Amino acid sequence: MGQIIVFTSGKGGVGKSTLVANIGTSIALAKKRVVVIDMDIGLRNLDMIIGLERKVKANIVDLTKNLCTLDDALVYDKRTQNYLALIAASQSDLKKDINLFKFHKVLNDLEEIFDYIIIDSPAGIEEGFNKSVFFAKKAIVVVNPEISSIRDADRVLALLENHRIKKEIFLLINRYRKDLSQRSYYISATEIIDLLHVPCIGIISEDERVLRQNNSGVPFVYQSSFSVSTEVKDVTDKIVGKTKSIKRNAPPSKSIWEKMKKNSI
Amino acid sequence: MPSKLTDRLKRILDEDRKVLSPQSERDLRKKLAAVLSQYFPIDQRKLHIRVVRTNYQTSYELTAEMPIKKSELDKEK
Repeated sequence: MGQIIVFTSGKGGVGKSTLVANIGTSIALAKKRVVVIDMDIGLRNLDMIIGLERKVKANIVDLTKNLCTLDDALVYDKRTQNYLALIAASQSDLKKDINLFKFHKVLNDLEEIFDYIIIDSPAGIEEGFNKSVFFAKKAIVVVNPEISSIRDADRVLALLENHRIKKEIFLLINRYRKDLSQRSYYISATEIIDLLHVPCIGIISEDERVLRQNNSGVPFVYQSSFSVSTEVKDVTDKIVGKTKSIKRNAPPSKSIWEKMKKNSI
Repeated sequence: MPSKLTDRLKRILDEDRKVLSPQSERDLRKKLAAVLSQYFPIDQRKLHIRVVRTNYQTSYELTAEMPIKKSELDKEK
């Protein structure tokens, strides 16, 4: 029975799709069967970031409308020996075109095939967000160290915490600049965790090479020399249960970064 | 040591996390003041209450700041 995990944020542009592409690939490289679903209907991008856009023949809306079979919609990534699959978003439909009950049926079918079902939620807190988070048992809220992202994450956390299907909720801090963490104009990872009161599953550094990898359709986790690849691998280990996340309400500590790297928390 | 930025963000989040509407908050304050004033000499104008979302997956917390008029309390004793 697969685990359904949603990546969400509230604010757009925080790096959700990039993280879904790379964490999905990393899980697949760990020989776990994983499917990533792009729920950003009308604004499809996940297929390009992973580099599978040319193989997409059907999408999640087609699937929920019974216009194709599950096999038609699943696009497998040969680079991961087919451990990674993608279901793309539709580029021509609207978020309202996904029927929640039929989406549930699709997820049930996927749970039988895959170990992990990762949903890439669209930005915002409207219909697309609601449908993306509805059936997930785990939610990872992606946040950047800037006040607008943190405020939106707080709003999303309130919605997730009050959701009728209880979820395990984690923070994932993205585009972090460790070198700025002591500056007065920068919000440190410790401060973000303290403000949002949610356990943190990882901190991913800002790295301009991520853009290059996204544009080339090769997830950066294939570049093992990148420190961001190691950071994503650490998050993957936590998702697949090899290590634990930082506990909530952990006392502020300057060595949080080092502790995470050593997986000692 | 929290920075000015963190303080600012904390104030913003505290405001966002408020659960009650301004009208409900006024009503609750009035009712609480009526009950509490039966036990303490309080300055009703200075009674501040807040109901906010607190921690991860725990519900809500009501905090009340209620200055008691010490001089009048001493008289009662």
